[in-house]
Amino acid sequence: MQQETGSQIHETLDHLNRQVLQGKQEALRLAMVAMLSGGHLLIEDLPGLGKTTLALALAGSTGLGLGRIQCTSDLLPSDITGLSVFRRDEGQFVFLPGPIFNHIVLVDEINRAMPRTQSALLEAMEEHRVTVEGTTHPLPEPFLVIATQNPIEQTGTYPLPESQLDRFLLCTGIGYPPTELEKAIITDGGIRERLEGLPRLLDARSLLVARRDAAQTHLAGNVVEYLHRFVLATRSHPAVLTGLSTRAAIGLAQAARAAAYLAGRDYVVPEDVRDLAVACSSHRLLLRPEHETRDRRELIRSIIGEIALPLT
Amino acid sequence: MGLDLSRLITLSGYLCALLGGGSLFPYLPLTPRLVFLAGLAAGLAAQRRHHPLIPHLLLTAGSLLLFFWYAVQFNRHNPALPVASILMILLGSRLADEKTPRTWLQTCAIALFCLSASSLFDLGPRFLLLLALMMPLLALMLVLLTAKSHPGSLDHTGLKRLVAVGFGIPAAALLLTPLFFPILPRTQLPLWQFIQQAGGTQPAGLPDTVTPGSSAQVSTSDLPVFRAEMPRIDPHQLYWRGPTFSRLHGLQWLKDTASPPAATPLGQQVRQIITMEPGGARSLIGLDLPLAFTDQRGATIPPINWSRPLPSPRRIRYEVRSVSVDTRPAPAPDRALLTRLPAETPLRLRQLSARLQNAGTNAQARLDALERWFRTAGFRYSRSDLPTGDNALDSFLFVSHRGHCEFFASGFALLARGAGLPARLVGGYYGGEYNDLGGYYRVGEARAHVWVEVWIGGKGWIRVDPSGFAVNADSALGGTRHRTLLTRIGLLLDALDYTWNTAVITYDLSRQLQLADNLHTRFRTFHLHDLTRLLPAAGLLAAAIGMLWLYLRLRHGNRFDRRVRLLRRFRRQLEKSHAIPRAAPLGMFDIAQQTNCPQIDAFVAIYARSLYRECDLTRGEYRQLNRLLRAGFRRTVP
Repeated sequence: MQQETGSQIHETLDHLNRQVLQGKQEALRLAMVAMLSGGHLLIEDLPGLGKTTLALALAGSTGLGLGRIQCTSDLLPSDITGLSVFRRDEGQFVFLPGPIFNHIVLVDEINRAMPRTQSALLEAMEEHRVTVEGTTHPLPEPFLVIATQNPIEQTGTYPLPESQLDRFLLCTGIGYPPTELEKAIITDGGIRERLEGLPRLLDARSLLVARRDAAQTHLAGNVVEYLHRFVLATRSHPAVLTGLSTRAAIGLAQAARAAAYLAGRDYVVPEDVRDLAVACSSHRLLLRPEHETRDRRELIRSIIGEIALPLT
Repeated sequence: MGLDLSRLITLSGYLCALLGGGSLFPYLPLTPRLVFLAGLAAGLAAQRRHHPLIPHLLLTAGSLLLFFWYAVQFNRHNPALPVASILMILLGSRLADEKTPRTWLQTCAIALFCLSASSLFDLGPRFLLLLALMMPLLALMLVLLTAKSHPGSLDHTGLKRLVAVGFGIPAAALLLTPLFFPILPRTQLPLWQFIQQAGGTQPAGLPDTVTPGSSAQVSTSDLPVFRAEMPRIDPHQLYWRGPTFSRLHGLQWLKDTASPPAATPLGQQVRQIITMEPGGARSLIGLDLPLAFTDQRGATIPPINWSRPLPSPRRIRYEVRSVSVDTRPAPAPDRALLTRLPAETPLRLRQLSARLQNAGTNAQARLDALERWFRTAGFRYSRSDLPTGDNALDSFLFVSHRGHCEFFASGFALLARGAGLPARLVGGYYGGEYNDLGGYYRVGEARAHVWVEVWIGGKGWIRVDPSGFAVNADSALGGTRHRTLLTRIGLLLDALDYTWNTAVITYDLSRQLQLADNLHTRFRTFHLHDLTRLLPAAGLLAAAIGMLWLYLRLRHGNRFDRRVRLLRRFRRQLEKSHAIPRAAPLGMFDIAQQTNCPQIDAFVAIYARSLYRECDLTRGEYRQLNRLLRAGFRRTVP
């Protein structure tokens, strides 16, 4: 069963990489890691680099429902969660679920929503349920939020506070595609149309099975030691005000398990931890004011590069 | 970060300065001492107020002034003290100055110089200890100062490792020293001691004359004069013989230039190895009666040199063969010379000796009468409140009855001479504390003693110690001391000092030659059956090494297990085949990805599974890994 699901996921990722999402392997892999470890993904990048395409492709090939929220400053919490409407013919209130009631939810420009709306969304992400007018509605499983934000534009935005950034398991960029690839994309035009016809290789049930299997991936003592030393190093680094929390460490371990599972192993290796360290921790660090301008990704890379991989 | 570098630097800096300054402190005059203490106090006060107490310029000017003051005092006969004083003053001024990394560096360097300078005064085991403490501190200080200018380059683990290495290297060096010490090249003389006389206190040595009444007090300092390595003997036989005094100049006894030995008396022979402190007794000393003196190389010292002044003020070591007797057979001496009384002899003494002469015709009877008179006259042995002046002897014998050994001996000898018995004085030492730990007697300066030898026909020279006739003789002449904890510690320290001096300080070229000689004879007379005697020792050594290995294996089991060996071979192979440095910080899968070689992939898959799945390698897996390593990896041409 495990083998089967694993190979299905591999096939899906392979297919997407080759056919649809050229140049977005890393982002796609991280999205899958987030999905398998029950976390959420924040994509920080400029518009027009294929964030939406990524979400659509993932939804399309897994056969999971996709909800989409375009955040604006007047977006209300009920626009996300849904609301109860009075049906005169039935004589009662009926709950109309919002776009969050989907397996995959794409939240565009999350920093444009006002804090009230943001917090409603983030609460739903954390709890995996929505409470409207006293009734609790569970969200479908698996549940993955892919949020995007534009790191450059600052006018009319409400930047997410650190405590809320902490809710995202992973944070990544997409980056420009390589030159040749970009030329090919320009020639072919957009690929949105092709997404309609993607073969469905996975379904919600098999993804849940995969998530359970991934959680059982073996995490050896020396790898835990390695991870812990990294966490400690972020806390004692002179440029860092507050290092990684225990929640972040748990998240990194979960993500490493999922990554190991995706690589077809039933054990985590330190490379899994190292390769996910940037995505998993750069958005959680709070730097000292004098180091505010430093590149967090580079900082994380240098911190974990200092720690020797356990080889014996 | 959590590491407060400034506090660490301050702490180690002051420690360094204290080690350096403290080592030199006891040997210096008051001014440098005060400057050092004042500098230390000013530095500490400035530390609290975060502001230097004394302006930098004033400090520099002041220390320059003192520098010149001591520089002009420098001369060939007293080279050490001015230099040491200058060092101490510089150290004090650095301590008082503002604490920049530069001043700290200077402080440390000067502290090291101070420690080196202290060896000019005393090169004892204490110096070794201080040096062993100083070295790691200096290393630590250098790294701390560097780390301070590169923030973030040192963390807790780094510091721990640094301290461990800093102390580990001197410790290892100390362990290795006994191996190298005997074979390092030596000079004929101990190199360092040419200047040592400059400082420190030394025993005054035995005087060339015996003059009772020259001063009202005698010194009671307990500086060691010599130590004699020998078995413990009867304390009443502990007469350490030095020069004899037969001639009189007024009432002053003059040292004989030579005392030729007579017939060898029969008796139990005692061998001693004597180490004389610098300054020492000025002539050879041996347990009464010494038969032969041999130097370190085993050469006999001719009797003509026995009472000659010793050549140099350095520490000397020789062997003595003595026979423990009270009477020494000898032919009749120059009777006229040895019974003559000088013109200055007090009248009452002459009268008393005339009465004694009538006590009997027999020499022995006259001696007995003299001894009896001394015993009954109620003399007290005393080191203070002594009669002085020309009538000192008279007042000792007939009025105060208080005096030390010189009074007793010269009074007794003069009375014996007046009674017609040839008599002379013998200088030396009496008694000594036996150190069980080192197996030697330590004889201090306060034990200097003079006794009398009387010649009796048919017997020879008889040793008589008139001080023993005093009513308080037992307590005054070094009765057994009560052994408290403090004296025990003193004995322990003394044994340590003695071992240090004999094993390290006096180890010179001649001892090296002796060692080589010994080894040579050992090898020449070596037989196969000697080997069988060595077997148990070799077995013991092998067992000890085995135990150590086992301990290390148990302690760091993973370092010795096969996974480590496999990894080491794997990295070596990679270095050869793919030029990946052994220490490159790569994970197993990084390597597999970089090399893209099926054999490496196979190795990594098995090895990493065992490592990160935390299951031991099966026999089959182990064999397969070995096979892969033996076959080697080949670089696939891309």
